Amino acid sequence: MRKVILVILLIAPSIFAQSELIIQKEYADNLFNSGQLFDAISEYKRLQFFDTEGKYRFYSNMKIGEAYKGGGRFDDAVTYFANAERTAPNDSLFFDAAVNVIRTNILRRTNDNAHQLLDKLEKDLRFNDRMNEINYWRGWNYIFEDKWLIASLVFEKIEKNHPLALISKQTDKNKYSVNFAKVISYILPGFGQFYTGNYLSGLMSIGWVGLTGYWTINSFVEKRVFDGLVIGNLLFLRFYRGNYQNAEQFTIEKNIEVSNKSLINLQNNYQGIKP
Amino acid sequence: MIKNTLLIFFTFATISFAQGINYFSTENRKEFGNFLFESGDFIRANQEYREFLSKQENDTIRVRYAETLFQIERFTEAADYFKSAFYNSSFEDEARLGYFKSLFFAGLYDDFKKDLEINEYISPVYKNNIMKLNTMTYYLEKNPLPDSTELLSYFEDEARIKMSEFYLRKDIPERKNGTKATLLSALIPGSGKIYLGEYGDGITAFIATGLLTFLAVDNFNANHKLRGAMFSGLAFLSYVGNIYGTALAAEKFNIGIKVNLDKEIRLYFKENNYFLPEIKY
Repeated sequence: MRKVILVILLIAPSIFAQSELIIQKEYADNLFNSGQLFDAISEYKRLQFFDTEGKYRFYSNMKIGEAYKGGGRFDDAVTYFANAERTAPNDSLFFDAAVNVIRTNILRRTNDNAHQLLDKLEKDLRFNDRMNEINYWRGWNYIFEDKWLIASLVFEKIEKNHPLALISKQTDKNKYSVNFAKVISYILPGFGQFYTGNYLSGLMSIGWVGLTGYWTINSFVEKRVFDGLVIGNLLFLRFYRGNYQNAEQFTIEKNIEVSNKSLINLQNNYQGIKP
Repeated sequence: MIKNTLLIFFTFATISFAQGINYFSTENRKEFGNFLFESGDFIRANQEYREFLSKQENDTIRVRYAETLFQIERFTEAADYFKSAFYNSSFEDEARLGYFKSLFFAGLYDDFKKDLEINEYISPVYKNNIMKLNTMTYYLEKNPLPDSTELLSYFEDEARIKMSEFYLRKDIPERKNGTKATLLSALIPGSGKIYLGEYGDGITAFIATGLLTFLAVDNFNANHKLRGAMFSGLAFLSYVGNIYGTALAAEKFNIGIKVNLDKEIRLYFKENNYFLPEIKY
């Protein structure tokens, strides 16, 4: 009987310590779940500090990372997700932490970093069976890089009619061609602006390029060569160059509008996991 | 006998351990606060230290608490806390420096200078740093600078040379005369801009006004009255626009001197960490 009591007394301190840690974890989780991210970070850090055996190290690192990410502190989030990677107890959890680093990189628009990290995961033989997830986040990375067509091709690797592939393809289709706008403006001044729906600007371009072109030619016809050179260089070429630069600018602006519309649509209506 | 002793020992150990695990105890808050402080999470360290100080007095934690307030840019509160550690503390000197640096960063330069006259407020250990901060207040203020002899005496070598250069540039700024620039542009288009150092703009204005005037005259001579009138209008706009632009550029130039110098001074101070030492509390 005494032996039993002795054994109980020997293991009791460790049980007490564990139960305190569990209580602390639950307290932090409650704060996290109720959206009190600042306090949640404090309590997860406290959990980490007193968890001398490191039982909750991975978990608290992940949670702190998520809380920082939720608060828009992406740099801090990456630091803690990277800590989670280092403290992951198995490959699966390592992968989860790595994906979180990638997702945060996508959000903070450090897309090159995200690609490098995705390449690393892709080459890692341990994660051959998680290629769909890697492609999924690579697709999202391309979306945030505004490369919708490539994004659609990557999503198609997961599934031919993947909803994100369809959305990406449609967005790419809705975008205007910058090259077409420029070329059409070289040939027919003002038409690049018409292409993007800026009719007034297009008409102004036609008017100015036409008028200054006429003056230039007229000066040469009347043998006022210096006049022709000056008007041609200072006025005609200025309006001609302005015409295709304008067309290019309008196309870029329109494309930003199209991309933003798709991103807002994804943010509000897409049900799957987002970065 | 041994078994009984062990039993009693472990019983007490277990009871005391079970009672001792409280992550929010005063001592644990201090330990956790120190961990946060060392890892640079000053806002959370501040919370832990505040709780600790509400229960217990500790001069190290008091100055650390003041430092967290300073780090999270609550400078006036930091100054108050540093001041409360002026006496009977192992960090009296550090607290005095902390107090002055807090006033400095709070922009309370008048208070800074007033308290500088109280001799006992000045730490003999950090007097040089405090006096450097004092000099910096003069550089950051809009008021005219006092005599440079004492002002620069706390700086050595390269810092002294740099501070002297700033002193001269602040004391006698290289301003340009706006009226002169405008009149020059009225006489010869673009010359005012050249006077202001904007050579590209000046030459462009001269050529543009000249060419437009030539085109106006040439078109009138060729009997193209409409084109002549249009080029005349453009030449006039170019001429007047250049004069107006010169007047604005002169004003911008003079404001720019002050703003750029101010930026340069602030950057220099920042790069040198305001000549403050690294302190371990």
